[in-house]
Amino acid sequence: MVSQAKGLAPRLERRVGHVIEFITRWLALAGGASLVAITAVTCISVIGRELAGVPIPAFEVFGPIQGDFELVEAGCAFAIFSFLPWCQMRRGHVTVDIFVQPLGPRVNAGLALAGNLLLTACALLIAVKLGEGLVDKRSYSETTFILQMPVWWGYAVALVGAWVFVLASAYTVWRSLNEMLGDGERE
Amino acid sequence: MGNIELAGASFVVLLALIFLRIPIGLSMLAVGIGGTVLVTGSWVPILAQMKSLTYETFSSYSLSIVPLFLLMGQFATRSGMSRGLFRAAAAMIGHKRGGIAMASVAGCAGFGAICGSSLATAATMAQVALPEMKRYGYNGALSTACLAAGGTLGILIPPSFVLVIYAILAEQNIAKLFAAAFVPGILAAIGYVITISLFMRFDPEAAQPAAKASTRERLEAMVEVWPVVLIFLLVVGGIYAGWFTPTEGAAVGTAGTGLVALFRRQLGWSALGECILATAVSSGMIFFIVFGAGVFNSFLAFTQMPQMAAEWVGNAGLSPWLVLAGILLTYLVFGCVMDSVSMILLTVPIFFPIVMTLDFGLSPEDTAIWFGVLVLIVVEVGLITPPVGMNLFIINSMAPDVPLTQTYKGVVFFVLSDLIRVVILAAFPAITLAVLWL
Amino acid sequence: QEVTLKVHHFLSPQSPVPKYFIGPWAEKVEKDSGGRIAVQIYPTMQLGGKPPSLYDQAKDGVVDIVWTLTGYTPGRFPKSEAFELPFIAGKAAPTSEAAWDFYEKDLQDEFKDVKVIAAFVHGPGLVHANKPIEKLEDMKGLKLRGPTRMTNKLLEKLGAIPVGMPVPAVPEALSKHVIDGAVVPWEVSVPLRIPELVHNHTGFSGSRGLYTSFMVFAMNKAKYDSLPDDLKKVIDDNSGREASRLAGLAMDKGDMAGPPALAKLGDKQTILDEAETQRWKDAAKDIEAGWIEEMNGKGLDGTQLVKDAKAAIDTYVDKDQAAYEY
Ligand code: NA
Ligand code: NA
Repeated sequence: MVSQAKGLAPRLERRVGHVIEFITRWLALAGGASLVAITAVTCISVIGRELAGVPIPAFEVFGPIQGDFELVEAGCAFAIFSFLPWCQMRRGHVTVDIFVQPLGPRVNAGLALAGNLLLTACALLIAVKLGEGLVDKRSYSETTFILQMPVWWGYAVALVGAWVFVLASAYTVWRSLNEMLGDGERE
Repeated sequence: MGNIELAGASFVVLLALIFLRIPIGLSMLAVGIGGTVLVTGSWVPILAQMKSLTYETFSSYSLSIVPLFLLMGQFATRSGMSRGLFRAAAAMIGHKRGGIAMASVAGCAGFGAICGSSLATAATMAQVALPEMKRYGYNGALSTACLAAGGTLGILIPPSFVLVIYAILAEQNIAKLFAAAFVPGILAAIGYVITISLFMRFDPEAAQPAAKASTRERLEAMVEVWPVVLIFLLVVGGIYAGWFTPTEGAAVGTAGTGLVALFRRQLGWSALGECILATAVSSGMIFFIVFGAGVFNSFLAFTQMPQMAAEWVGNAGLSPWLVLAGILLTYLVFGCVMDSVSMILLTVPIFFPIVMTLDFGLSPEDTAIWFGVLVLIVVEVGLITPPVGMNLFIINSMAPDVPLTQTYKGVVFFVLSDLIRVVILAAFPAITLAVLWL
Repeated sequence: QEVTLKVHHFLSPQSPVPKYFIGPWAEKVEKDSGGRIAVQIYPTMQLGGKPPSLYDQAKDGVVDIVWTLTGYTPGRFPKSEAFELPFIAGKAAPTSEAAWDFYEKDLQDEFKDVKVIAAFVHGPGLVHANKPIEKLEDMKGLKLRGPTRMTNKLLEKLGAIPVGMPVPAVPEALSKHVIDGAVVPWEVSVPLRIPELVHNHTGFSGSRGLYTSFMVFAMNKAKYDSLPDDLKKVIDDNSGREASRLAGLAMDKGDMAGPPALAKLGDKQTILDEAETQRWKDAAKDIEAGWIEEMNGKGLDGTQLVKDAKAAIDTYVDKDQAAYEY
């Protein structure tokens, strides 16, 4: 274990890695909870809508959940923003490996380092711009169509995922740097 | 540098980045951002776009079907339902050569009948079928390629998101387009099954046949599979009966499989967590690609390159069949780097009026519908043509032990089957249109 | 040429507004500028984003000119909603002239971030459903896709179940009976193939329709300011009430495709008689009162806005209709 630890502050990097792994896992689980909620809202809405169509007077109390598809959209956005950091930590993004495989594990880790640097820059751009979008939407007092829920609420919860994505991407730069200086990718 | 040169150079840079192991979505995003800055001569447009583009992409109602179906696949795997499904398929045709791969294609076709998205079909079926094919000793080339190809049935078999967009752009009847796409979709599934049996003839080692099941085993397998069948009938039947939209169907299916898993005591808190974390990795990857592709495609639109290419084909003064061949080839080439919806949005407004001026001996409406189905097919072939095909990447990423080269080798057979089908359907419009003439 | 103007919108080039208004507008501007201005039109959101972001794309300079509906961003243009109240708007061309006057009088602050070239509306909305609607009570329990915030409120009040979904999802939802119908004008229903999916189409008597949507054709301010004076004049000459009227005419032209499409399918168009129409108008009174109250709550003068909107519309809709024949 110790002999493998090479690179820039390798032991600190591992410890930081555990913390970020913890944060990203719980955020992904929160995103999953939002997916489960979407499922529930949609099913209840479908059942309500179908029951409302039954020509029995007592069934008039039923109906679809108003604005269900707005909830699905906002919930899906939160889920995806929360999934991105976990996906990055788990090396989930698709890459084409065949052309660089023969170059060996350390070169590959080096290419991953370049990719992670580029990704961190993009993640930073996404997070900063999403924040600006939030400020815009708030100042325009834009709302959703049916529920008239302020649009910036959706942006606000998404922003959590966007900044954790920056954090996770930045950490993976460090991780792949140490993998390049060490023996290549760990997993 | 002119816009055309810029667009050309962007393809080169994009491929270089991808081959240098930069993630696909990231490569498209980076080239898209850089390209937009160059083509508009300013950082203002792209920076302003980014304020809302991520949120808009991730909050899409139609795309929310993707994580829902992925979660459904996780629940189905967790509760043993997908294994039950494959045990049943294996009991029926597993003893045939390549039988389980054929069952996977059949599964994709069934799933394609409920889902309008290729990526979701490929990802969901792969989650269910890959572990089973591995268990039966199928080699990586066959198992990943047949699923990548099978995934395109998601769009080929109606309902199909791409056809809806075509119908709106070309102002054609959606119901008729769906009807016309049905026979070609079934032909695609049959073509893939034939491809698998030919594959087995060329490479008999690609899969071990399972032992022939006894009648009793078959019956047992059928009894075990009833919850899957029930949920499948509920989702498909419900969508066709008009109880719910495809996205709602995905939610109903997720709830159904989740409840079965819960009932079978396979879905405690930790199992639910694992299902979610696996869904998170695949969903994050797919949506990041969709986002990157969006930025890249908007850059291409700014260069006007696809529009100009389309105009050039239309104005070259060739015979109708040559023009059609040129258009279909253009789609195949663009399909290497673009996603199907963006391609249709960019080119149909240009190609469609051109095609409508050509004489193929058909009525205008028949021409429009036949052309729509052909476009649908070539666009989908783009998803599985090496080196860059979204379905290939997604399936391959779900089979970590299979090198991408293996998937490339395997898929060549399926692409050939697609090309043969395109030629047949183009040469004999009656195959597509007969349904409408009845 | 010296200047290229990029126009971005959300529909296909064959739809009425791009075909009869944006295309001819672009040609006219190119001609009037002696070829010094080139206009590039990008349909179907080709340059990225969803329709609700179009307004910001013009404001922020992602593109130079957009066509958008203010209803895409509820809450952002509250005053323009006066034109979307039930039974307030008439045919598109005269109501669009009124929309321009209303913009000049009341809406300049709402659109201060852009240069508005035209303010316009579409023609009267109809109820397209899978069962005949001959009286108010027929609306009960119908699952309808509603078009605007105010129309949704009315549908709900009439006992219908307003279902929210994006417009492109409507044909599929109709074909599968997820919804029973949709409330849209002819100009949208024909390209969406709605008459092929549901066969009862209900309109109203008199010169006012069920609802309309407020729209603008707007230009990035900095881009306009950067033009030399003579080119500014070209844009100015092609802006204003006349441009708004032409955009409205494009909508009316699109609406004219509706009834012939029906005849071909053997569909039924019901025009509710005056007495029945009056019952609907009475039911809609609360919606207008509720809107005024809502505006007052925002510190706006709701009563005055409705008065201005009605006065502007009366001026043109009740004018000699011969001015709007083609
Ligand atoms: Na499908
Ligand atoms: Na491809």
